[in-house]
Amino acid sequence: MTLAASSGRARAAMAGSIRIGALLPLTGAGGPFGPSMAALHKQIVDQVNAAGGIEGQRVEYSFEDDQTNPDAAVLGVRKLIDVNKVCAVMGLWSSGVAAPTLPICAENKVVMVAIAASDSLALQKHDGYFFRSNVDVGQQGEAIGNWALKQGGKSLFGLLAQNPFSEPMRLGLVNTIQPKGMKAETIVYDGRRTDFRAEVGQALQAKPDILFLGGYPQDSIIIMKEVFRAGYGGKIVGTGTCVTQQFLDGVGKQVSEGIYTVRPSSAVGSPAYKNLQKLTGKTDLDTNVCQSYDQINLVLLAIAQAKQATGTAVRDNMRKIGDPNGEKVDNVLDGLKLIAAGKSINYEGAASPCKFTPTGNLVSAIFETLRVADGKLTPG
Amino acid sequence: MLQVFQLLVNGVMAGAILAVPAIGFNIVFAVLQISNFSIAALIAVGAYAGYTANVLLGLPPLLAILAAFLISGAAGVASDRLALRPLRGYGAIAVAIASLALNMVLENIVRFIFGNDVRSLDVPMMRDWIFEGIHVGPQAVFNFLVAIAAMVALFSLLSFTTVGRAMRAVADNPTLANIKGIDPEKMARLAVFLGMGMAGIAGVLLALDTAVDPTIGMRVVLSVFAAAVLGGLGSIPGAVVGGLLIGLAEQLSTLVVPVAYSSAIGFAAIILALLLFPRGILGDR
Amino acid sequence: MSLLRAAGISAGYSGRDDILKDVGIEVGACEIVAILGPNGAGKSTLLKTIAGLVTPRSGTLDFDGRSIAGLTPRDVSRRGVVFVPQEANVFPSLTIQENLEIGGYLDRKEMKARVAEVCERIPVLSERRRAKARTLSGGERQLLAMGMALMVGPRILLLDEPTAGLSPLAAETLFRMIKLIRDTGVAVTIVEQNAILALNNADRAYILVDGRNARSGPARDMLEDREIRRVFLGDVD
Repeated sequence: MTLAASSGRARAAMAGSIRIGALLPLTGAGGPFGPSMAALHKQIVDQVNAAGGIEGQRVEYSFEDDQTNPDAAVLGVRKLIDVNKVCAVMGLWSSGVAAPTLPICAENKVVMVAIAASDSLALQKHDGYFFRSNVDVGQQGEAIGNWALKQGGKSLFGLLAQNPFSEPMRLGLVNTIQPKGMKAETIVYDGRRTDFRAEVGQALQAKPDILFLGGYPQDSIIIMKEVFRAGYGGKIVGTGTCVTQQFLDGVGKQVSEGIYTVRPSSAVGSPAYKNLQKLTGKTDLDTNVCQSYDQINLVLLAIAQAKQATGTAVRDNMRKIGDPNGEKVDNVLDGLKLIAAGKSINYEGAASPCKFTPTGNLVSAIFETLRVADGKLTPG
Repeated sequence: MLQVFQLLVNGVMAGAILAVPAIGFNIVFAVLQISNFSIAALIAVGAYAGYTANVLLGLPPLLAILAAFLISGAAGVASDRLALRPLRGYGAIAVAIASLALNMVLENIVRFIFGNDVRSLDVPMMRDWIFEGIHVGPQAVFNFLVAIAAMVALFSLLSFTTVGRAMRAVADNPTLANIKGIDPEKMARLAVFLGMGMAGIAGVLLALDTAVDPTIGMRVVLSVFAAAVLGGLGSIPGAVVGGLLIGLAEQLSTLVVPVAYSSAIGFAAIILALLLFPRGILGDR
Repeated sequence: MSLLRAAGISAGYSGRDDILKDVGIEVGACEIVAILGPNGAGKSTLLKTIAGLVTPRSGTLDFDGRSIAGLTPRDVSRRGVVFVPQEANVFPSLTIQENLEIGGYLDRKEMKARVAEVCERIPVLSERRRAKARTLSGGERQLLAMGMALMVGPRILLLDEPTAGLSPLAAETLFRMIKLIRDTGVAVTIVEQNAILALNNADRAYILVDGRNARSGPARDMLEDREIRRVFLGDVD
C-alpha cells in the first residue's frame, strides 16, 4: 500500500505540480517562531512561481501546525504526506515533534529537513531521508571544547542539567578536550531543584580552570549565584541555551561579568544572510528564519537538480547542489537559472554552509564566542 | 572530613528552611486533618509577594518576608474557603486531590500575573565567609536566622497564647474544643493562615537564596512533604526534626550517590519513614 | 420548676433512624439525676442531644426557661450546660494546666485564680499541672475532665459514664466529688452503667429502653423496687 502510494506519487510529481510541505509550530513552546518561518517559506515559493516555477512546473506549498506537540505533529505529517502528497517536509522546530514524524517520513520516502537538535534523530534509521539545518548538540560540545583548549587551562568541570541533550553535549566536549590533555570532569544534575550547593561544592572542589554551565537559565541562575558566593576565580563558559538574557537578568551584572558563551551562529555577513536581510527587511535575523531560508532553498534546488519531485530524488541530490567546485549560490532564483543552464552549483546558506554528513548532520557549523560585559553579551 | 563538615553545615541551613513550610503543612494537617498540597503554589505566591515588595516597592528583605507571610496566608485562607472547604464532607482524600488541582490553578495565576521569567530579589551578592575551610554564605546565615525566628515565633504563639492553646485543643479533639467554647472553623482558618503564611516565608527565603520562578514551590514540595511525613504528620516539632533530617540527608547523600539522584532522597525518606515509623519520628496520633 | 426540661425528643445521627423516640426528662436545680438503661438504649445520645452535638428532630429542649434546641455545642456551654463526654474528654497533648485553661475558654477573666480554685478542689491535678494529660490514669483523667467543666461555673453538668473503666474505689471517689459539686449549687445529669452505684448517689433516675422512657422516679424507690432491679438493672439475686 505504501509502495503503491509512493510510486503513484512519483508519477504524479513528474507530470503535475511540485509539492512540498512544512510542519511548524503556531502554538506551544515554538509558537513564537512558527509564523515567521511559514511566511518566509511562502515568500520564496511565490518568487519561484513568479519566475516560472521549476522546469515549468508550479510549486505548491502546504503547511501544518504541529502545536509543538508530538500527537498533533503525527496527524500533521500524515496529512502532508497522504493528502498533500509532498516530497519533502521542512520546519520541525522541536525534537519532540521530529522524533515521531521522522520514521513516517522515511517509510514513505519523504525527505525531512529539520531544525530539531537532538542527536538521536540523525542516529535513528532513516535511509538518508533526514537532513538537519541546525547544529547538533555534539558539535556544540565540541565547539565549547575547542574554546576551552584555546584558553589553555589544565582542567574543566561541567555542570549539565539532565535532559536528552546532556549526554551528547558531554561526549562532544569530553572527546574534544581529553585527547589534548585537558582534564574533563562533569556532573549531571536534576535541574528541577532549588538547591545546588552540593553540585557546586563538588565542582569547585576539583578546582577547575574552566567551569562549564550546561543547563537551562532557571537552574543555571541558582548555580551561578552559588559559584559567585563561593568565590570561584576561574573562567566560566555556558551554552547558548544557558547564557540567555533571562540568565543575565537573573544573576545580575555583578555576577555575570566576564562569563563566556560559545553558541551556534548564523552565517552573519554571508551573501545568503545579506540576501535574507533584504528579503525580510530586518537586520537582526533569528536562527530559525535563517534555517527556514536554507531549508526551502535546498529542497527546491535539489528538485531542480533531480528534475524530479520525489523524496528519493531530493535525498539523492541534496549533496550535489553543494558541489565545492560548483558556482557559489546564495538564493534559489540564481540557483535555478544555473541548474537550467546545466551548471554545477554550490549553495551556501544564511545559517550554515549547508554541507551534510552521511547521517544528515551539518559537516561544519559556525559558532560565535561572546563575553558578558556590564550585563550584556558582547563579542569576545 | 572537611567535605563532610561542609555538607553538615549546608544540610542544617537547608533543613531549617525546609522545616518552615513543613511546619506549615503540619499545622494545617493537625487542625484540619487534611493534606493541603497547594502549599507548593503558596510558596511561589510568597516568593512573588516578596519580589513585589522588595523589587517593585523597594522594601528591605525583612519587610518582604512579612508581606509574603501575610499574602500567602490570606491567599491560603481564601483558596481553602473557595476550593477545599466545600469538599471537606467528602473526606480527606477528596480534599487532598482537590488541593493538587488548586495548586495548579494558583501556580498558573502566578504565571499569568508575573510570567515565566526567572527573577532575582534585590539583595547584594556577597561572597561566602570561610572559617577553617568551611564556606558559609552571609545570605544563607540570614535566611537560617529568619527561619529560626519564624519557627520560634510560631512555637511561642502556639505555646503561650490563648489562641495558640485553643488551636492545639482543636487539633487534639475538635468536638471537645467545640464544647469548651472554641469555634473549630475559626481555628481552622487561623491554622491555614499561619501554615500558608509559613509557606510564604519559605518562598522568600528560597528566593533570596536562589531565584524566583513560578515552579519554585514545586521544586521543593517533595522535600517539604518528606520532612512532614518523616517527622510525623501534624507534629510541629516533628516537622522541624524532619526538615533537618531531610536537609542533611540530601546533602550527605551526595557523598555516596550521584547528585542527579539527590531528588530521590525525599522519596526514599518517605518510604523509609512509612516502613519504620508509620506515624513519623515524633508523631503521636 | 425544673432547670432543664426535655420533652418529646426524637433524635438520631444523620442518615440513620431515630435513636431517641419521644423521650422526656426534667432536672431540677441542685439535683443529681441518673439516666440508666441497657446498652443501646440511647442514654449517651440523649446527653449529646442536650449538649448540641446531635440536633433533635422533634421535641422541645429548654434550659432555665429558654430553648437550647439547635444551638451549637459552644453556645449550649455558654448557657451553663456543660457536657463531659465519656471518652476523649481531655486534650491529651496539652498539659493539665492548659486543659483547665481551655476548660475556662468561654470566660477568661481571672483565669489564674480559677485554675487555683479547681486545683484546690481536685488536689491530684494541682500536683501534676505541668504534665501532659495523656500521662494521667483513667481516674485522674475523669477528674481532670470534671475540673475542666467546673472552670466555666456550670449550672448543670452532663456526665457520660464517668466511672467507665475505673476501679470501684476510684468510682466511689468520683461520686463523692460529684456530690460535692452538687453541694455548690450545680445540677448533675449522669449516664451510668453501674446502676446500683448511681442510684445510691442520685436523687432521681430515668430508665431508658430502646430509645423510650421506661420508668422514672426517686432513686431510693427504684433501688427498693424488686421488679426494676430484676428487669432493668440486671440484678439476679
